[in-house]
Amino acid sequence: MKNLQPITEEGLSRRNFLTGAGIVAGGVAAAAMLPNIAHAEESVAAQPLPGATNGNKLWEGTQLALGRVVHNPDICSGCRTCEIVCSTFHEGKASSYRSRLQWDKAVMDACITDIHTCRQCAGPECVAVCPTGALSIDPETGARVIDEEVCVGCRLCEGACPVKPSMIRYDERTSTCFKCDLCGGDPQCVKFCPTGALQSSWDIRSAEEEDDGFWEIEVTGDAKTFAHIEKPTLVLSDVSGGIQFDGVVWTSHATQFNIIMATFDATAEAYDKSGNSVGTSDSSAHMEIPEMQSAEFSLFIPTSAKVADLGHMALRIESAYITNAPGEEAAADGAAQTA
Amino acid sequence: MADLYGYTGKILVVDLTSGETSTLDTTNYTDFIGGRGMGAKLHWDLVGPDVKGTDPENVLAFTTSPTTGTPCPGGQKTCVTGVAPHMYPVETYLKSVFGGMWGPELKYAGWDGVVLKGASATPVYILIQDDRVEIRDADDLWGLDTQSTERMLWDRFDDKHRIVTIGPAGENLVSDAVILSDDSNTAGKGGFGAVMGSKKVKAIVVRGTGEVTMARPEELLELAYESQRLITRKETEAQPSHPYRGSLFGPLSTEGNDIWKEGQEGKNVRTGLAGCMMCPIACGMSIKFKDGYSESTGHIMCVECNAEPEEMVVENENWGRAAFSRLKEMDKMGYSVWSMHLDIWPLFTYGVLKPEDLEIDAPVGSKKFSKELVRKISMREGLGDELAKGRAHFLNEFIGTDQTKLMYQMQAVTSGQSRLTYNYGANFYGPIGWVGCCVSRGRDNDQTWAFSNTITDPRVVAPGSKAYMQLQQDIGNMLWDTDQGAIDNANRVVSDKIAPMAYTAHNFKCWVDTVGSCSQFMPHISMYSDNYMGKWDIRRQLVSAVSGLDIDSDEKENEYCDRIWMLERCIGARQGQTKEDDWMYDCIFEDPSYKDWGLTREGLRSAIDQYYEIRGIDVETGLPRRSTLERLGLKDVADRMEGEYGIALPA
Repeated sequence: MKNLQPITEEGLSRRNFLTGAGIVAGGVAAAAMLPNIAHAEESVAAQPLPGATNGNKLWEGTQLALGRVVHNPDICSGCRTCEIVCSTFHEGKASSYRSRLQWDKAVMDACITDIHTCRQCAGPECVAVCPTGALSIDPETGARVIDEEVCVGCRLCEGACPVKPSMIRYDERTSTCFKCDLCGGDPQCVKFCPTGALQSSWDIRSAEEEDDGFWEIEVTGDAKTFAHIEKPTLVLSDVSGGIQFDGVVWTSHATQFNIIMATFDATAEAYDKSGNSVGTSDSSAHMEIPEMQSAEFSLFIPTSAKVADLGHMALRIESAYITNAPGEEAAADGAAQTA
Repeated sequence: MADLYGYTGKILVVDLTSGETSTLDTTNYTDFIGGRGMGAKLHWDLVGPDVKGTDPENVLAFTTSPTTGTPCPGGQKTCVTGVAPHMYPVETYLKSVFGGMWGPELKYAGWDGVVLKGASATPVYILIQDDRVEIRDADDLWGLDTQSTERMLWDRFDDKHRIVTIGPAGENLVSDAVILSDDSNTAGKGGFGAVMGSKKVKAIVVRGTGEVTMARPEELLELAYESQRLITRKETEAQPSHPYRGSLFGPLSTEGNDIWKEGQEGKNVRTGLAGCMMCPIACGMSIKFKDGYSESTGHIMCVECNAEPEEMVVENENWGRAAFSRLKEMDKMGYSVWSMHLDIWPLFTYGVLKPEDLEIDAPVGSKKFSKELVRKISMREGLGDELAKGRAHFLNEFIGTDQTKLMYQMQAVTSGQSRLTYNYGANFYGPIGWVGCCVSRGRDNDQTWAFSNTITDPRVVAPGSKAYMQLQQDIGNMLWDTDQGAIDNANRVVSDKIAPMAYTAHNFKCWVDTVGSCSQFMPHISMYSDNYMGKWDIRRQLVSAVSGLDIDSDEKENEYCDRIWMLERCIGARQGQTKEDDWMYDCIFEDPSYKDWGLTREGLRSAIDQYYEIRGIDVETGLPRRSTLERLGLKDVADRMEGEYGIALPA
């Protein structure tokens, strides 16, 4: 994030010209957004989060990706098959360094593994910042892909990626960036995942988030509906001394996302990506999520206490669930309360 | 020279006495493929016959195989070889393997193996980051338990580094000390933790950003997928009747035991499945509770998570926190879980020892007892000092009554410390297992079980069922064109069909260890195929796709295995192993408790003699024939046997 270079409007226009397909709308507007993106990690929830499209007309008309690769840590064994298959499929060589996925295993914490995968953002900042046109949208799968022949290794995309760790990888040996290209629509990591922890979001067989101590997810309605909750992170805001709590929800159908919060010694307030308050700990927070898209959300607790004192128990998301039919919240609320 | 696929091309040699590092060219070792074979060759080249486990002259070799780090499921284990202090009565050459991800990381760093020579004067750890190799001061790590060591090192570098380390048991040269990697992957056999401790090496930290090449990567991916599908199904596809789901190991089901129930009731449990690199089975499982208590049960093949009966009584639990905390204590101290289960714990069960003898004020089976026992042995406190020398020493020499000697001999059947025993489960495996007393490497005799276990795996087919016997007969027909051997074995008849089966079984295990595979990775039988017959060839096809080696038949595979096996036999011979060592204790033939086995001296003698003939070993002396060694390309070994060690080899 910190290494983001200023980009002129001319540069953006030229880039859009080079990129061709995909981003037609909003090159200039993207430039206006960049400062916000650059400082997103320092901001509190009132700032828009990167990669978001909800309520943002900037990315209208941008081709959506087929979906993305999603990960369920509850059945993941951390075997790294995905990593090694990834580099073998793309480069013909086995290397964890050349993997497009990122592997993160808490060996001393019950071996719980997170696999970080590219979100294939609806509003792909990486594509927007690429000065050479190496990053483009694959017309077939909609995947945001890098042409390594064209890439000059400026690493702007790496910094623009809203995911931490960045889903754009940089290879020091070839001086090029590389990223997930969904393997042309048949992600090999999903094919080879022995447990089924990695799945293509457009081909969900079944997946349920289980209680990990922080989250309870209830999915109602169509069995195809699938909610994927990223592992949330706690961020201490140095501005106000509050706690920011970030998460991402992905669904396969247009849905409404509901969060019920409970805190022990502070009032929690939820904001959507536009920074509008959507509720406090006394009520539910609701968010509209467009079909086939991920939506980041951010919760913020204003409190004078330090995070160290609060511990993780200070903020506990009692329940978060997705309903398939917007407008029927009341009924769904009741179901979630019992969870 | 043809391209070297699967190998990185160099082996790191760290001379701890001088503090210098050098490299060996891997091409000198490719005749032995990797893992156990490469380790045997390194040992033969670098170590003499009269070396003890904890001598500086002993060489501790960590070796990988071509498949390590590639997408070859079940080919990722690292082999540790050297003279093993655990062995009795003579400390002999041995190998031990561990899984996890250290070996692959070493390959990515550009090394096929690490060889530790000499001994450092002060505690050190070795840092390997690609080509950068440093011997660093480990004063601040020495004395820490394994988990603290790993945490410290992960804090110092980052948690992408993979680590092997020893605990206080290894530092104090306890003969059951293990080398531990990550949460609970251990090289448990032989006490190699003590060897590492004698060299004052606390840990080897590895991080690699390189790559492993493959001869035919596309074919490898196809084969990998096929072998995955033969063994497991994804969680989302699994049927309850098929226990092998990806990462869910049927018989190791934690469902129903106390620790699982406890978590379920409060809905506050989080399980993490722990798989070795590329493993479709992932036999390990970790559990974490909301109160912060977390425990890894370990990988079943490395650390068997047995609950002791005493724990169930004293702590009133069925696989609860006492059992799991015992495992954790042993992992932390770097003490072998198997040694505790098979060697030490029975001393209390059978009344040879009482807690008071070790000044432990808690009943056997209690949490406090387990913790104190492991600590006292690892720290060599009081009687723990004697137990630290191993069960064999304790029963035969420290107590040394006829009764305890007999106890050692009878129970040694299962613990595998002495050469005069054979593999554990020999009763279950029948005569094939008995011939397992003909060993190649030291007193380690579990050469049969990998094969025997896989052809008779109760998890695939129910024991005693028609299909169970049918599977063994099918395999017999496939491998030896007759199912008579399987029938004889089931009936406990030592016929002339037994020795060929034992030969195949030993070579199978040799292959498994050499290519860094796991004995649980067995696509040659499959519950997802007709008649449970999987694909026999796929093991070597995977290796061939990686390395480009021409291994497309049993004959070619056996040539490699014979070479490795015979080299190990030569290492044994120069350490004094003779025909007399390929035998069993008298009690096995005479004690009524073994009567059901149907074992006779004559039967065993005939099977062993036939086995010698198949191997090319001289029936009179038990030594390898010179012609056999020359056929296998081991002429230099034969010359050295005769020239340097004065062992006359039969023609």
